[in-house]
Amino acid sequence: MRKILLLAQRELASYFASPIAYILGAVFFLISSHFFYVILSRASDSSMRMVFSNIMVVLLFIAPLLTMKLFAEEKKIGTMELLRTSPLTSWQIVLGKYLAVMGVFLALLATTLVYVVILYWVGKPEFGILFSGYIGLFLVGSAWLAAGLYTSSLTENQIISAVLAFVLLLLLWVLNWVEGLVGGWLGRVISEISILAHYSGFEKGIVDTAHVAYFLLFTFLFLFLSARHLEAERWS
Amino acid sequence: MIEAKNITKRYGDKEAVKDLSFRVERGEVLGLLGPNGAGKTTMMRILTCYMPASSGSASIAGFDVFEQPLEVKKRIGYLPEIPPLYKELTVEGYLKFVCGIKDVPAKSTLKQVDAACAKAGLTDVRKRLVGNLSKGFRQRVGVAQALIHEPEVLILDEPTIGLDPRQIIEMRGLIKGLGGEHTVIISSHILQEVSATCGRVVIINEGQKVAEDTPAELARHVAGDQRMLARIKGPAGKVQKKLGAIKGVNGVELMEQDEKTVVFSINCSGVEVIADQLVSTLKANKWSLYELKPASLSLEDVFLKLTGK
Ligand SMILES: Nc1ncnc2c1ncn2[C@@H]1O[C@H](COP(=O)(O)OP(=O)(O)O)[C@@H](O)[C@H]1O
Ligand SMILES: [Mg+2]
Repeated sequence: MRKILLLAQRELASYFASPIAYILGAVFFLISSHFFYVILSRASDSSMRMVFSNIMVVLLFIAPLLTMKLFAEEKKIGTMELLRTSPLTSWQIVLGKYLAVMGVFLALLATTLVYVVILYWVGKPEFGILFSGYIGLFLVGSAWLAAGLYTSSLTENQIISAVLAFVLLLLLWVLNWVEGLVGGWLGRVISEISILAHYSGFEKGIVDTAHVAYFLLFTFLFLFLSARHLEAERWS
Repeated sequence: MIEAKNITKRYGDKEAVKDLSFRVERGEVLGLLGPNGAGKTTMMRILTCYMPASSGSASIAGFDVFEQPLEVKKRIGYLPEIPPLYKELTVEGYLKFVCGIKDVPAKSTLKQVDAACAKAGLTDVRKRLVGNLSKGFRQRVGVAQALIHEPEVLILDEPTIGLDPRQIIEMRGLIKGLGGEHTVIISSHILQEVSATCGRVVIINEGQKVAEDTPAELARHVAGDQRMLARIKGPAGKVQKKLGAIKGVNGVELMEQDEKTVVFSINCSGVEVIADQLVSTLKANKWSLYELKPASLSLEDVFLKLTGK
């Protein structure tokens, strides 16, 4: 555990040493400000739902940019050779990196709390929707960052890593559209895998354990794949 | 301390290392000498558990690199060909990080960082960012990183590559001082380098062991065949013939020629053996000597000699 925290700390230091975290932070804050401004000026619950789904779309673009460097950069500059010849397990390396990128993500998300404060100040927003909305964003973000971490482990090129992550997330997101095309039980199974199908409840103020479990499983699966890939890479 | 037995490593069809075996005793400094592409880095990566061999086995301090990689990793310090540095950290911050992942207890971290900085000559740049250091200092940070947890075994891949002559001499001094306390393997493609630092040399070519001996023995082995380069003003054919007739000269080769002078490569058993006769021969024929220097033995020469081709 000490080593996981140490790896995460090193990773965080590298995020804040490069402009990318600041740029993404600024972009995220500006766009989410815009959405909150819209509901502040209209003040209705339906528009509040819109805020969360819009922020999610922004995250779809931001997540691959946050995760792209995680493994790709270390492979490129050769520091993977240090990590992999040190007494560390693959899980320690994966979790250290994941913890760091989750830290950056939570910091981004925290910037929007400014508006929650303002909302309470000017009116009476429905707590349930706010609460479940944030839980939903957190779960979706966790899952996407895990997927991005995985694609970053596949290559030493950050651009390729980001594109792979984006395509993967997009596919998983729109999978429920396939239901109409395929039909039958297969269509149902495929749409069950889709992110959108599991996310929509959170916007309506419902925290369903089945959906929570879906995102946790999704996250675990990609962390597991990343750790497995690190092991397998030794053999190639 | 280190034992490699019949190691073979294939990348696809290509055999980068073929049936390579060697031992290194405790406190010894072993040189892996070979030209680029010989398989030195591959061999080192196998010993450091970076990747497994296709066949064969290796152990460090009695632990198998394949069966007990974590135990092996605790006992080794490794400087890869490209030093694995985080440019955004300070030298001190970086070394503290390495302490953490190498199981150095928190309370002795500072002491170890101090010691490693002192050994690698980094004390003056401790607070500087790694990314702002010169190539020579980065290489030293790489060495400091490898020895920070006082590992029993040090594996250094081409530690002097890319350094300027003064830095190379410093680095060689540093490596020489590591023997005894540590068991060391260094790789190099420069003969003089391993002669200067190692107690024993394993020469590999195309993944296979060509020779294994002390530098002194190797030098003796190839010394019978010293090469001198002589730039002489005179008729090429005639000079070559006369020089070849000198006692102690084993062969004369024409290397290059311009309008006035000719450069010959003279194979002999030593300059002291032929010097007098060479001068008198030149004098007798009124040829003038413009330049005489020993041609440094290249690794290729050593291979040719050792493989008897
Ligand atoms: N990852 C790899 N994939 C395929 N071939 C490789 C790989 N790494 C090294 N090689 C090949 O194996 C041979 C030995 O390489 P290497 O161990 O790096 O030699 P050295 O360190 O002695 O220069 C070379 O011919 C090189 O091209
Ligand atoms: Mg090499």
